[in-house]
Amino acid sequence: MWKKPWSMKEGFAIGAGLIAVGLMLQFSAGPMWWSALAYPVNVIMLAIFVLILVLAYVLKEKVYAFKFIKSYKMAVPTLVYAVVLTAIMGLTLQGKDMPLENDPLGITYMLSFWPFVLIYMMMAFTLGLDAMCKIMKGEWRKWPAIFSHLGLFIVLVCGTLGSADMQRLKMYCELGNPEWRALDDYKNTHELDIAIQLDSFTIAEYPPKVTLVDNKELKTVMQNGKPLSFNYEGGNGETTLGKWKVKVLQFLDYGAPKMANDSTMAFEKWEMNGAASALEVEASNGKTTKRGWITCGNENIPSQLLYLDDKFSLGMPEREPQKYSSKVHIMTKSGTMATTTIEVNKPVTVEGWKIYQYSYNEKAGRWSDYSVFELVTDPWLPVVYVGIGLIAIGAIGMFVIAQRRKEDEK
Amino acid sequence: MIWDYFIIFAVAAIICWVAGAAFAWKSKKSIAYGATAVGVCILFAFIVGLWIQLERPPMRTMGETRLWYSLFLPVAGLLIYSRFHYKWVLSFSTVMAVVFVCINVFKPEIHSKTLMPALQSPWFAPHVIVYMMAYAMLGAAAVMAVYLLYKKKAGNSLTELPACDSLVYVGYTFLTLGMLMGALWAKEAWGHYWAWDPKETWAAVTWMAYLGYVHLRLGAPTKHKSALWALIVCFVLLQMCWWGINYLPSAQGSSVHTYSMG
Repeated sequence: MWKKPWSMKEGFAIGAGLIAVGLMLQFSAGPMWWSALAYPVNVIMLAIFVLILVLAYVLKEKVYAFKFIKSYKMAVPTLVYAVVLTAIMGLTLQGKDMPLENDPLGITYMLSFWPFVLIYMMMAFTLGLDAMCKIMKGEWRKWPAIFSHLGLFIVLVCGTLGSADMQRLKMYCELGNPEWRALDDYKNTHELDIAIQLDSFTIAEYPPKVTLVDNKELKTVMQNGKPLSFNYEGGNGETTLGKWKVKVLQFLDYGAPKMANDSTMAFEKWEMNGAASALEVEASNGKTTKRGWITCGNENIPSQLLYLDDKFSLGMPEREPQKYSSKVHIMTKSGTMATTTIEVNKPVTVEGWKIYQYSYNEKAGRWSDYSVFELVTDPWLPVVYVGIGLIAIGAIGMFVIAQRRKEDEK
Repeated sequence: MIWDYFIIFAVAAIICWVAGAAFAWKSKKSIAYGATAVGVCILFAFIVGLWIQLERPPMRTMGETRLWYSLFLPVAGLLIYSRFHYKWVLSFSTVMAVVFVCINVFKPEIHSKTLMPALQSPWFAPHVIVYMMAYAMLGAAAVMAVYLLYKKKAGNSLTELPACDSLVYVGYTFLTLGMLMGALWAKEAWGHYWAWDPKETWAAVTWMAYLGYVHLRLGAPTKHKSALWALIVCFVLLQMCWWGINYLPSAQGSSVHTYSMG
């Protein structure tokens, strides 16, 4: 070993050395503290990192190690170490922002585990150096490699350095009240230059479901791996669940119970706050016929099953939300006023903040009286997107190369 | 429900694929191409029907992704066959596709219409389709690696390894695009493009593992055996990413990618 030219063995040895150094750091200094990198520290770190890269580029003919670092023989070991460490991360339960209690090593918060950090730094270094060498040499024939390496370098470096500047806050907005305070993950209150007023909150729900319920387990009965249930989509929805022929007599999207003769509830139309969906159903197994109301209930109205026999009942699970959205007024200190709708997958961007529909009063469901928004700002995002774009171009380049190789062989 | 007719479409598609594989052995290329392609079209017609009936892309449950996988395997088989003319390749892709079709026949998973709001996005279909395409290509590469390791005892003059490389290159392209689309979608749906969710962690593992293979081939082109074993290890890691994490304690309750279980 260590006779030039170095092989992959030396590459693996260098990686092992990095891991040893990482372990020493871990035991002496504790886990890596990412939040210390907040602006301007991260910009300074980026400048230093790039400076070292430039230095390595200039010295690569004099210092053999630098030349080696950007070779395949270092790339493969680095990737192997990164795969192993990341796989360990994927196999172990990870702490939210620090290692779990009974983990003296620190692998349960892999993102701050020094060997992990150093191996990824090595990867970024290799990528940056190789991209720089190829660009300076003008090796544009290898454009897929240049784009991939530069793109991944940008995403790795700027994504991690920028993470300390990213803010994710939750804002709880009650109907009709403007709100400008938001909570971080540690429940600290932040007063923002942006205020949101929830004007209305609406949920569209999927059609109600009728299921055959096991009386003992109170669970939907399964048959051949499929639940015995059906979606009611209008009409009398006649269907067969197990041995029971079921049909729907009446559907009330908004209903409330009225007293019935026995202990069960019957429903009538009631389009007011607190109403629940209910179905009047009839089930027959050839011998007996049962008829009655089923409902998923809500905060105020208990759910109700229709008892069929000793074994089975009919039930209606909670209706699943198809879409929920908040109509809001957004006001900023600089005087921007906007009315808009925020829904899942359709965030709204206002003055550097992306505002997401995060949650609502799930107990109240369609009668939710508040909406929770997540406000996210990430000043490094545009740079990361440039990196993502470059990786995408590089990946398409790989496709082109695969084609080119085929033609070359011909 | 259209799912009740799956068996008919499945049998028709399988008959076509088996015929295609048989004609490939007899070197009747155009019939082999035609039969396999017809089989693909039949299964695709079923998927389209399912899509229309469910009123959402059929990509939420494991059963639904398996459907796409069994569609893309013969496609991958056709691509390799058209390029390298191996007689066995269509048989391999057919056997694999049939296995996945059979799983869906015997263990159908819930195919309800509901699609949670987080999945209602224009990114959903391309994200999953591109990933399934990548999995099919990389699956084909892994099968080829096993074949080369045991059939040819990995001699020094491996002429088929470039075929593996091409498959990995194409698979890598799809894998990368799937991952990047996932990142852009995650930013729109969950507020961050990369959150080290268990599924994302394993996607990163898989992606880097295949990058390892690509660099190994470029850096040490004569290490055939290592390359073939690397392909198999990579594919095992890919299985973790695809369905293995559903059984991992580390992912229980903490992954946001848990739509497939319900």
